[in-house]
Formats: sequence, structure tokens, C-alpha cells
Amino acid sequence: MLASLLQHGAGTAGHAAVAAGAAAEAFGPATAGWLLAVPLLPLAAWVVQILVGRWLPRQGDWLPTGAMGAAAVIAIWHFVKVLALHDPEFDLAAAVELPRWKFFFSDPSLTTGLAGFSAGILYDNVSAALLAMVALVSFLVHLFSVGYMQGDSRYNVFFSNLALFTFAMLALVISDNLLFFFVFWEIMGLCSYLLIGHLAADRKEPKMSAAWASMKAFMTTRIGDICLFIGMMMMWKAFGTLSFRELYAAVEAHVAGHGGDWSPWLTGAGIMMFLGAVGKSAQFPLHVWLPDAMEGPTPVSAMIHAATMVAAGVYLTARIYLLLSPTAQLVVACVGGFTALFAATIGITQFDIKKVLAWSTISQLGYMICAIGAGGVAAGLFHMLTHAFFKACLFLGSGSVIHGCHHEQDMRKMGGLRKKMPITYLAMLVSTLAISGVPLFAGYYSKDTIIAKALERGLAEGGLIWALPFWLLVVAAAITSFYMFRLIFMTFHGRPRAHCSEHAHESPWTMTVPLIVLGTLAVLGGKFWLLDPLGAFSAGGEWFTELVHDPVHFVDHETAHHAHLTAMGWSLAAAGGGIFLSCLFYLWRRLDPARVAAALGACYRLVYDKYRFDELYLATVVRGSLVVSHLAAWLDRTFVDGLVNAVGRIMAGLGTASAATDRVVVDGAVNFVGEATAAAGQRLRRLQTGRIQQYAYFTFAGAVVLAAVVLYRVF
Amino acid sequence: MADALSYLDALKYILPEVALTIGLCAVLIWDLLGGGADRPREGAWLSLGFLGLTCLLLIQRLGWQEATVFGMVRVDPLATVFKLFIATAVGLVIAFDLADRRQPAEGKGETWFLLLTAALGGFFLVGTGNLILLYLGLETLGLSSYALAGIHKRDRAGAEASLKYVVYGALASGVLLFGASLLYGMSGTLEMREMARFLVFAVDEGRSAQVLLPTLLILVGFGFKLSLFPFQWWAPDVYQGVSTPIAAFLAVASKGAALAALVRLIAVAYSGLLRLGPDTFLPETDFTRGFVLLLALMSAATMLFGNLAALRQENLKRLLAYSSIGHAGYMLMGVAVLGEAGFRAALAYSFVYYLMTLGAFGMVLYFANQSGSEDIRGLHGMGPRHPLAATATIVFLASLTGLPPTAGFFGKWYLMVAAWEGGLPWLALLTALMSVVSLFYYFRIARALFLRPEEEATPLPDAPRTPVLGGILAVLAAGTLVFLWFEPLLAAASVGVEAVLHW
Repeated sequence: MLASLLQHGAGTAGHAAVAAGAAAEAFGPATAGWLLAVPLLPLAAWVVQILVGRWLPRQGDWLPTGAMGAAAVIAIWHFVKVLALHDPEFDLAAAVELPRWKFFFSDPSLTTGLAGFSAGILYDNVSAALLAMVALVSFLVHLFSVGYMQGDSRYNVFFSNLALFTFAMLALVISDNLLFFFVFWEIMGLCSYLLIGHLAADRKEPKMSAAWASMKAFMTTRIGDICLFIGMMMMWKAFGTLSFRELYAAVEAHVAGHGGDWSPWLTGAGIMMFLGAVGKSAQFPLHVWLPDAMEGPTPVSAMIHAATMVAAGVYLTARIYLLLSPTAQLVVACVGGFTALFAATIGITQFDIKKVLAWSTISQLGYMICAIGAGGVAAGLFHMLTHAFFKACLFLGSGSVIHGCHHEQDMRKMGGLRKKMPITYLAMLVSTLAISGVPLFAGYYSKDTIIAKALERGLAEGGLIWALPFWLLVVAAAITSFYMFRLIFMTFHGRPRAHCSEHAHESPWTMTVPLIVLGTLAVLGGKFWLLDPLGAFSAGGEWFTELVHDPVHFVDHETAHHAHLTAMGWSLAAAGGGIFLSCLFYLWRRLDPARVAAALGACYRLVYDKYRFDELYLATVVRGSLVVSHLAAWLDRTFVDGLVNAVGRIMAGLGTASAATDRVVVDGAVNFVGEATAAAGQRLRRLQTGRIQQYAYFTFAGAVVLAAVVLYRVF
Repeated sequence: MADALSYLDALKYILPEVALTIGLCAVLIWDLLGGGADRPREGAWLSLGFLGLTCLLLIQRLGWQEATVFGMVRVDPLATVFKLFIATAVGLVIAFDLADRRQPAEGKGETWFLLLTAALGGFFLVGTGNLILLYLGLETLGLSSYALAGIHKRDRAGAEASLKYVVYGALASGVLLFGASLLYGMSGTLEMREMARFLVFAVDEGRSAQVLLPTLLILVGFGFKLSLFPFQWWAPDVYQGVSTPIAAFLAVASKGAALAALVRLIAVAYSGLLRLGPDTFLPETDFTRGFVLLLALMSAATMLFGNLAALRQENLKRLLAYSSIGHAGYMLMGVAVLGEAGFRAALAYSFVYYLMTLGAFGMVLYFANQSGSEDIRGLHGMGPRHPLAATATIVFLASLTGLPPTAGFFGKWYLMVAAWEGGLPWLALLTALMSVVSLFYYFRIARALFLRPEEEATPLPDAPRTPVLGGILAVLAAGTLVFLWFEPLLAAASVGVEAVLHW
């Protein structure tokens, strides 16, 4: 895969030529147009929807949905072609002439500025698979929203935001350079803010917790974004290019030029770029936003957790893998492994069914990141795909449960739903088996590959520190199966524990059909073993790892095989042990979870409070900025009267604005804002509800119309 | 060559700025020493004294050879004329502020300091051919203006206006900076003159759209300062929220400086593309067609919006805000012609606008001092009681409408001629139409002054007159009325335009 971009790899020149010929045959000259249509369709839908959506029949919901449907068809059609080629070295650029857009130009003699910067399409196996997955899941989410969001007071706005969100993700997947990648990445950040906070702007009953959650998500991921930007700039400064292909070659040449040693600044740049993924994919220590993002409407949660947002972070890590020095790779692997374990432990203690799933997403993302850090790029991406299937299924299943239980989310009040909601139960059970890594189910193949890769790397590097990822992942695997079966047992087994679960009912077919589809994918999405049942247990043969190869192999074939067997044993033992423990606690009731929790005391409470990271950030980052703003206010009041008052007043206003922003970054209100701050906050509130946003909107709209008219008339 | 100037020679060129800087430091120190609250008049004289010195230095430099000093500051007739424009306008605003009885005495020192700072920003804005210094000038002017808008801390309306202004201004200047950085990215230089060379190269390559879009972004920043549609939304709220002298400052000094800078930017950075010169016609390229269309559309929309929205206003300052939006549209019409005649007409109109708009705001101040109200209703019956001020008001209104024989008529006439001959006859017709529309709302003021009976509650019989203000109004009115002045105004504009066109 990535190696093919570097033009170094196993394939001989002859093989490459044959492959390129086959690819050229499969993909006509119009391919670029088709591929561009995939992101441009939702973009066009967004433009129409945001301008006139309100006045269209049905508030225009059919427009983004239809556009997404068309985009999904195109993406899947091309992906099928790629599958048929079955060429691990496939890269569209080698097969057909792709358009390039020169965005800046200058006197050839000029050396400053973005001289000759150009952008193009990157369409290889990874992009193809991802594009198809994102388009398909986004289309399903659009479709689901048509029913789910009915009656929302900002129905048309929701669909326009959803369309823009999808556009950004699709465009990001086929960007061939970091600059455009970053642009779409930021658009996606904006959209996630708008969508998580969607209910906060509800015209009938605004939901304040959604406003806080969206702010928290935006500010937290923003920290990562800035780091990514710094990393990008370091690369640009050093190599004068941001194209992925050119960067791979440049870094390789640079390292070769230094006798195979990685310069420390390259490690730094790699870690900086990775921090962008830490924010977007909710890795420790920037994980705090994802559980709160549940405040958004359920389709948005499904979108963020399965198809977009968090997947972008993993995708970024995979794309920059070749730019990461070994040290940076170690950091990536450890951050991922630690997050996998850390989030899993929190998952044990939660009672809200959606929160359990949120922590499980963070944990599974940790697996993917860890795999990529350990060199298993294909394994990480593979897990991302299978995870998209079963996590989407679990989310929609939990939506079905919540729907059936009349909007109850607390698992302590559920129980015994197995009989009342058989389809939901089966779909969720299948997905749970998949996420736990039980053989025959999709998650088993991807997770097993990840653990094997971690072990391989540990064997290759030797030493204690590189052994860490493997053990973190194994322990996390046991915990994963424990808390996921805890969810199943608490929800579906035993007796109904509250009124709402006694009167539960199965959901209508519009909700169960997607569950069945996704449940099937959760079984067969990793390896299609129906035709060859025996092959289901043997290692290798998964479609994804056949298609996408790791860029670098750290161990020889025999060691890899050995590692794979060992890892399989460990992961089976972990999954079985977790399930067994879960049965002891929650199915057979031989152990009482409440007593264990009481025995663990403070430890349990610490985990239950999510290790109090929110409180830690509150006490340090947020409080720190508040102290600074207080200090400024005090200096302002005490020392400088006269002149500085006038200027300082505006500064205090801005300072308060940032303080107020910080305030909403964390759960719960912070009440130590001084009187000066409070007074200014009053003003700020009026500003926010006042017309200045409208002004800005008019301005933006006016500028766009002007540009459109002028460009249309002239060109 | 300018670059070869010795340090002391260079210093001579920027002596007005030096004087102004010393002046603002002096005012600041005087205020910090406690002078501001007790003896506002002294501070005013201090400020006016330094402004006067600055003006003298500027007048002395009118005939000097053109030069670029320190690689960034451009000294030429356009810059000097507009520096005079700014300095005198700020002087009048200070006089207005001193005469404003409705503002508390505290904070006067800060106001004057900030006004002088804003003037300094304006000086650099009009006197540079470098995008960075242009941006710095714009921001110095802008930040001082934001602070000026919120200077009275206990005044809620002022505070809100200030915050709105800051937020909107930050947005606009961010967009401008983005546009400038795109131009920089394309050309690799910040110097307008060198940029012209690269932009030609770009357009010849058929990349007109890629030059047009950053141009639009830069126009957003200037559109904010000039309150051009669709970037004018802040203006009515802010004008109404701030004190009258500050509103006058924003309407006149800030706008004039932005207009001059815009003309310089277009005439220099885009000179290669526009093939500007005394007798040449615009080249028929995609870029010029798009650029003219963009400016003409903005101009038309601005006049339409300003004049139509002004019709139903009751608050005088809000009305004048919309009126000043309309006039910005007229001025932009001259720029849209993209030729010497158009630039000259736009600059000349800005001088006329200076006289009549300052006069109109002075009128609001004068009558608000008397009646305590800034609404049209407050003017009821004031005409007979204050004949001098009321007569001056009529002159300003006639000029704002564009009636002969006032300067406003000639200004508009030259603009329309330039537009007509420059290939935008529809815009000229629209201007004429808008003049008719504006007659309605301007003469609501005249009617209130003379034809409406005095209301029982409003008058404050004992309010002392403000002779200084009356005097200023009389002088401004005389200036507006004496159409013979128009030739010198036009000449000043010509010299300025030629200086940039032949740079």
C-alpha cells in the first residue's frame, strides 16, 4: 500500500507494468470525475440545502440523502473494481492520468511563497476501502435521520450540517497532500461542533448540556489540530512539500542521508502530527470529549463513532506512518495501548448504556492506533472497518433499546429484554461477540491481527518497553469482553428491574433492518467463511490484509507465524476469561458486583469518576486561565486607571470571552468568576443571542453571492 | 533614489508622524498625571496644538519630492493630502468632544489620546505601499476606534456597540489578512509595486479567478472600514451606540483613510492588470471585467441599502449612519470605474463628504446639547430659535442630497460623469435615482426644524449655547456652500491620483 507510493517494494518492474495495465483497463479516463463526484455531491447538496432547504418540500431532507446515496453507489462501484483488480500495489495515479490543480503560481525564478503548490487525488487500496465504507455508513445515517429527526425544530439545518460533515470526510480520504487534508479536517471539526450542539439551539427546548459538550469537543480537538498544524509546518519548512508521496520520499532520503538515523526534530514533527490524531480519535490525554459528544442526536453519535471524525484520526496516523521515526512509533503504540486499557477499565463501571459504548469506542480506537504504531498499518485500518460495522450496529441497537424502554438509558433499570426484543438482542449479541474477539466474528480477525502485530514488533525490537503494547492490548481484550457481556447481561438477561423494561417492545422494521444488515456484516465483514467453514479458524486469508500490506515488515515469515499463533492463544484466553468472569457476575450471579465495588472502595470510585480527568483539567487548565484573567482584571482595577482602562476594557472583554469558553470546556459550572467577569459575561451573553452572528452570516452570504455572481458572469 | 536617503533625511520625511507621536505621548502623560478629569480644556489644547503642528509640517511637505523611506513608508501627495484630511478631521472631532455636554468629563484625556493614536494609524494606512504596514495602520486605526467606541464604561449602549465593533472588525481584518496572504503567496512580495508585476504574470496565465478571489477577500476588510454592502451591518448599531463626536470620527476620518488606501492599493498593485494611465482604456480581460463588476455591484448594493434603509429612521445618528453607507456607495462608484477620472472623482467626493458629514454630525451634537435628544423629534421647532445653526444644517442637508449649488452637487456630478464615461451608465443613473430618494429623509430633518411646532416636554430652556460649535458649523457650511472651492479640491485629488498612477 503505502510502500507502493514510494516505488520500493517487492514488485518487480515487469509486475508493476502489468498491474498498471490492468488498472488502466479497469479505470477509464473519466475515473477522476467519478471520484470527485463522491465528495462534491454532498457539497452541492449542502450549498442548496443551506440556501433554500427551508423552503423545499419536506425541508429538503431528500436532497442530501439522495446525494449521499448516489455518492455511495459511485464509491462502492469503484471499490468493487479495486477489489477485482486484487493488486496490493494498486495506485490509481500510476494507472491513469489524474488531474492536478495548481493553486498558486509565480515567476519561476521566485523562491518564496507557495510556489507551484498543487493538489490531486490519492486513490489507492486504503482510500478505496475507506471511501466506500464512509459513503455507505454516511448514507445509512442520513436515511436513519430522516425518520429519527422528524419533528426537530431545525430539521433542515441538521441535514445541511450532516452533508457538509460527510463532504469533509470524503474529501479528506482522497486528499493527496497534508494541506488539503488539514483543511477538510478542520471543516469536519466545525461540523462536529455544530452537530453535537445541534440540540442546544433547539427552538423549543434548548439543551444546555449539548452546548457544553459541543464546546468541549471543539476545544479539545482544537488542541490536537494546532499540534498537527505545527507538525505540518515543520515538514513544509524542511522539505518544501506537503504531498504524502513526496514527503515519504523526502523523509526516506533524509534518513538515508544521515546514515539511517532519524533526526530528533523529525521525531518531534511526527509526534506533533500524531497529536492531531490524538485529539480527533479521542486518545489519552485528549479523550475527554468523546463520551460527552453523546449529547448530540443519536445519528450524529453513530456518524462520529463509526464513519467519520474518529476514523479520520486513525487514517491520519496510517498516512503519516512512514514519516514517523521509531521513537515516534513507540509513542504512538504506547499511547494507543494505554488508551485501550484505560478506557476499557472505565467501561466496566458505567451504567449508562451509551456511555459504555462511548468508552468502548475510545478503547477500540486505542487498538487501531497501537497497531499502526507497532507497524501493523493494515491491521489497524482493518480493525477500523470491522469496528465501523459492529459499533454502528451496537449504537443503533442501543438506540433501539432506548426507544423500546421509553428513553431509559440506565442499564440498572433494564433486564430481561431478550424475549421482548429478540432481533435487537441477537444483533447486539453478535456485535458483542465480534468486539470481544470471538472466532468466526469479524472483530476476531482484525483484533487478532493487531495483537499479533504488537507481539511481532515486541519480538523484533526486544526490550521491555516494546513488550508493553502487547500486554496492554491483551489485558484490554479481557476487560473488553467483560464489560461488553456485562452490558448484554444487564440489559437483556435476568428479570426486568423497572417499570420501563417490563413494558418494552421491539422497534419497528425501519430500525431493525439496519440492525440485521450491520449484524450480518459484524459476522462476515472480517472474513467471508461461509463457503469455507474450516478456513474460518486458520490464520490469514482476510480480504483486507490481502489487499493492503504493511509498508515495513519487522520480522521474517516464520517469526510472524509463530507470533500469530501465540497472539491467537492469548487473545482467545483473554476473551474467554472476560466472558467467563462476566457470566459469574451478571448471568449466574455467583459474585455480587456491588460487594466487589465496595471492597475496592476508593479505587472503584476513581475509575467510576473516569479517573477524574475532567476535574484535573478543570483544576489546572481551566482554573489556570481563570486565574490569569482574574489577575488581569485585578491589575486593571488596581493599578492602571485612566488610559489603560479604556484599552484594558476591551482586553478584559476578550479575556472574559476566553474564560467563558474555558468554563464550558468542562462539565459543570464553575462558580468562581469574579464580579468583573460576571458583568462582562452579561454583555457576552447578549452578544451571543444578539444579532452579531446574524451580521457575520449575512456578510459571509453576501461575499459568497458576490463571488458567485462575478465568477459566473465573467467566466 | 529614496532608498539611498540617509537616516536623518528619512526622518525629515516622517516628521509629521513624529510630531503626532510626541503629541499623543504628551497627552497620555498629562492624563496619567491627573489632568484629564480636572482640566479637560488644557488637554484639548495640548492635542490641538500638536495636531496643528502636524498640519503645518504636512503643508510644508506638500510640494516635496516623492520618496519611500525605511522601505515601507511612502511620502507622496496622496499620502500628504489625506494625512491633512485625517489630522484636521481629528482636530474637529476633538473640538466636538469638548463641546459635547452630554458626555461625562472623565475619560476625556483617554479619548484624545486614542483619537491621536487612531490618526497615527491612519497616517500609516494612507502612506504606505507595503501590505504589512497597510495592515498595521489599519489595525492601529481599528483598535483605537474599538476602544473609543467603548470609552464610557458605565454606558451600556456604548459597551455593546464597542464589543460588536470589535468582533465584527476582527472578522473583517482576519479576512483581509487572509486575502493579503494569498496575494503574498502568489507573488512572493508584500510591496504593491512589485506585486503588480506578478499579478500580470498570473492573469496572463489565465488564472484570473485566483487573483479575483483574494481581491474579494481584501475588499471585505476595506468594505468593513468603508461600510460597504454587505459588510456594513455594524455601522448603524455602532454609530447609534457611541457618542456623537466618535461617530463623526468613524464616519469621516476612518472612512477617508480607508478610501485613500484602497485607491492606492488598486492603482498600484493592480496597475499592471488595469493598464492604468491618463488616456488608456481598460484592457478587455476576464480579470478587469470581473473586478469592475464586483466593485460596481458592491457600489450599487451599498447605495441602495443605505438610502432605502435610511428612509424610516427616527434616530438622527442612525439615520446619518445609513446615509454614510449610501455615500460610501457613491465613492466606490468612482473607484469602480478603475481609471484616473474615477479615482479623482472618488477622492474629491471624499473631501466634500468630509465637510458635509462632519457638519451633519456637528448639527446633531449642537441640537442634542439643546434638547437632550438625538431623535428627529428633538429638532421640532428648533429652527426659529437657533437660526444660524439651522441654516447651516440646511446647507449640509442640501449638499448631502446633492442639490446645486453646494459642493455635494459638484462632487456627485463628477462621479456620475466618470461613471458614465467609464462604461457604467446604469450606475450613474442609479446614483441620480438615489439622490431623489435621499431627498425624502434628509428633508424630514429640515421639516422638523422649521415646520413642526416645538414639543412641550423636550426643550431645555436654560441650556447654554455652544458658540465654538456654532462657529465650526458656520465655517463648515460656508465651505460646503462655496462651490468655487471645488476646483482646488479636484486639483488636490488629481495630484494625489497622479502620484500613485505614475509611481
